[in-house]
Amino acid sequence: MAVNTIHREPPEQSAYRGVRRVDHSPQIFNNQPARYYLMWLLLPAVLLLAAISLYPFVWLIYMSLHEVQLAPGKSDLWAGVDNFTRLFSDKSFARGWVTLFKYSALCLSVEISLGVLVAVILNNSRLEKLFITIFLMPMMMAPVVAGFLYMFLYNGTFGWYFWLLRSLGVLDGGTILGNKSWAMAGIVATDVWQWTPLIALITLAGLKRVPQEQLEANMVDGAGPLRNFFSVALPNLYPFLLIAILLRFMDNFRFIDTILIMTGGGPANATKILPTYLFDVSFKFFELGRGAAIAFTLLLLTILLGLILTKIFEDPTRKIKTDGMD
Amino acid sequence: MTSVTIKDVWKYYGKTMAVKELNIEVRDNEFLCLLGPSGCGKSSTLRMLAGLEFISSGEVFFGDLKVNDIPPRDRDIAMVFENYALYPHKTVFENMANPLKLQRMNKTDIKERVVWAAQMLEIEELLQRKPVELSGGQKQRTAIGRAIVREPKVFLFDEPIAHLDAKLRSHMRGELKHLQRRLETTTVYVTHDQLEGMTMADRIAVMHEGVLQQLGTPGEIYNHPVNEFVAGFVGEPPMNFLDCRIEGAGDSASLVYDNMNLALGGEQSRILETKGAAREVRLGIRPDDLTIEMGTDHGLELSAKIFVTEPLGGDMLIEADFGQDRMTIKRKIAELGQPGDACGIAVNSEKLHVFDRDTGEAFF
Repeated sequence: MAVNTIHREPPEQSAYRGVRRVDHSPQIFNNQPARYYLMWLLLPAVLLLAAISLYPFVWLIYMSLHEVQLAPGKSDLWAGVDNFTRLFSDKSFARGWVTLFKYSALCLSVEISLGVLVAVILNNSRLEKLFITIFLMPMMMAPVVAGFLYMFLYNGTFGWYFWLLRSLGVLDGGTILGNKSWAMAGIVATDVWQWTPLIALITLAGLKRVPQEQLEANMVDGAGPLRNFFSVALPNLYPFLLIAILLRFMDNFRFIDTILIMTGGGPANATKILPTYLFDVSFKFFELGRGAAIAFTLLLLTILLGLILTKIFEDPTRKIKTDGMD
Repeated sequence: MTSVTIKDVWKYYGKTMAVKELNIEVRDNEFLCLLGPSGCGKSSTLRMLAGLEFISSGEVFFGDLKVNDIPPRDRDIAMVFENYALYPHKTVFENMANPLKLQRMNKTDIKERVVWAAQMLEIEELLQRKPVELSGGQKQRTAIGRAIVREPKVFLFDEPIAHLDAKLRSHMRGELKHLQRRLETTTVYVTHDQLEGMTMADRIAVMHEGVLQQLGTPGEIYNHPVNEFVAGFVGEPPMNFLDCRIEGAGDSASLVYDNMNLALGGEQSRILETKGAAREVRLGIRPDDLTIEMGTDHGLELSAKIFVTEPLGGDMLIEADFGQDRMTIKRKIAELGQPGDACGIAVNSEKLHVFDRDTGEAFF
């Protein structure tokens, strides 16, 4: 049945008979001289990095193991792992995590789906450049300003969004930020407004890199536009989406400016995500040791989740299967 | 299995004309090659057949069916792309199964078809691999496999073997030709490599600057090029051109260059006369149709100096200068001349071509 049984590929070396071989090593190796000076060139950068990022980290661990004294002259008391064990019985701590995950999941899912949708619509449209410029604006804004802006929009006296929701009859009582179930939606909306453009931009960059030929091949194979998007464009977008998700998820764990401005964690802790709680513990109750312990768990989990995400979204094209070559 | 008719087709991108007034009929089961240098409109033509480009003007028929407004997925075609266009996240099997899956074929049938195609292309053992793990030749086979699994009406090839190394390319030429004969499917094959066209195609359509220059069998294209472009593009090494003057008239015209006086046959002279050739014409002669003698007392009409010699193993290419002109001569090796050596050149008057110097049209 075979089309041609003579040979298929240029034969590997061994397929030729009578090939000359060299089986021994050279007698003299021209070793490249080690370039030790490179180490010295790197040193200033390494030192600077250590000073600005490593030192606070070490200090954080120190604080988490002590009862930090604020009064001048008093030295910190060794607390061992007390700060950490206390967290197990801290209901606010647990609730902080739950709220944080809820907040982050909401933000991410809305931002990703909306951002990808916007990118697909914008891609190759005539007004692409104009819209990109407009989209950049929310991102340029300081989160604090965005917080104030939305606080005004939600305001129960003159807020436009408040008026809109009230007119639609969906907001039965109280204000947006004063309502336990609406407050979360309120802060998520602010985050979505500010950061969806970033996702859209990253996705747009990704869309430009989707090989046109693959899309065309799939069309010729018989795929419609929707199918084409999901089976060719989306897999090619994975690495870009990973960057977007990583960035946004870490931001969600770090940026609390808008929340502090808008709700301060309220009402009734409905928006008190863990970083907000951490802020309260450290800078309202001034329990710096306990705050450091919370911060440390937050850091660990961020790193852990980052690693997991990277694993899940690993670029499928780069993953080489070593088995299954039957 | 259908004929393809391209009728008065034009393609423009903005104000740039890519294809102009193209008329080609690809016969049922024919292997037609669209040949031309880059930018000649051959790929645009192929993409219009695939439905990937909008047809600016004119009509394309598959059999009796006008396909202008039919999207690619409903045209029942298979296309092999220049860069293979494999889906990197899918295995070879999934890549090849894709068109069948989109046809909603059931799984056992899909498996059967894919394995059949893989056996034919000898890539069964690669089915579970991802494209990154394949060599260029294997990728190319996978791409062909994806095209043949579903017995399309028309095969479209867009320079499928351009990126393979020379040895594999020459091997694949034979294999593709064999495959096409076996599957008996109408095929349109785009290439810029005249060798691929000459060796594989039933008929070649030579295009240049968006215009069809000549449509014919490889023999017709090679032996009777209609103009200087086709003559120069097809054949390796390319045809030599020499500006000459016609002297004499009637049945006994001759071509004059320097002290060369080449008597033309009666029929050749008559053609020149009836077609009203100007006095100034251009002579075209293939490197194989030249004779060369070394030394100064060669007795041949043109005296020349060797510019460079290029041994090809069995044959030898010799470039020789005379006056302002240079010619390439191909012949079996007899003696090696050195650059600067004197030699004589003679033209085989039966094999020569004469072109109009202004329009480039061939008289014969």
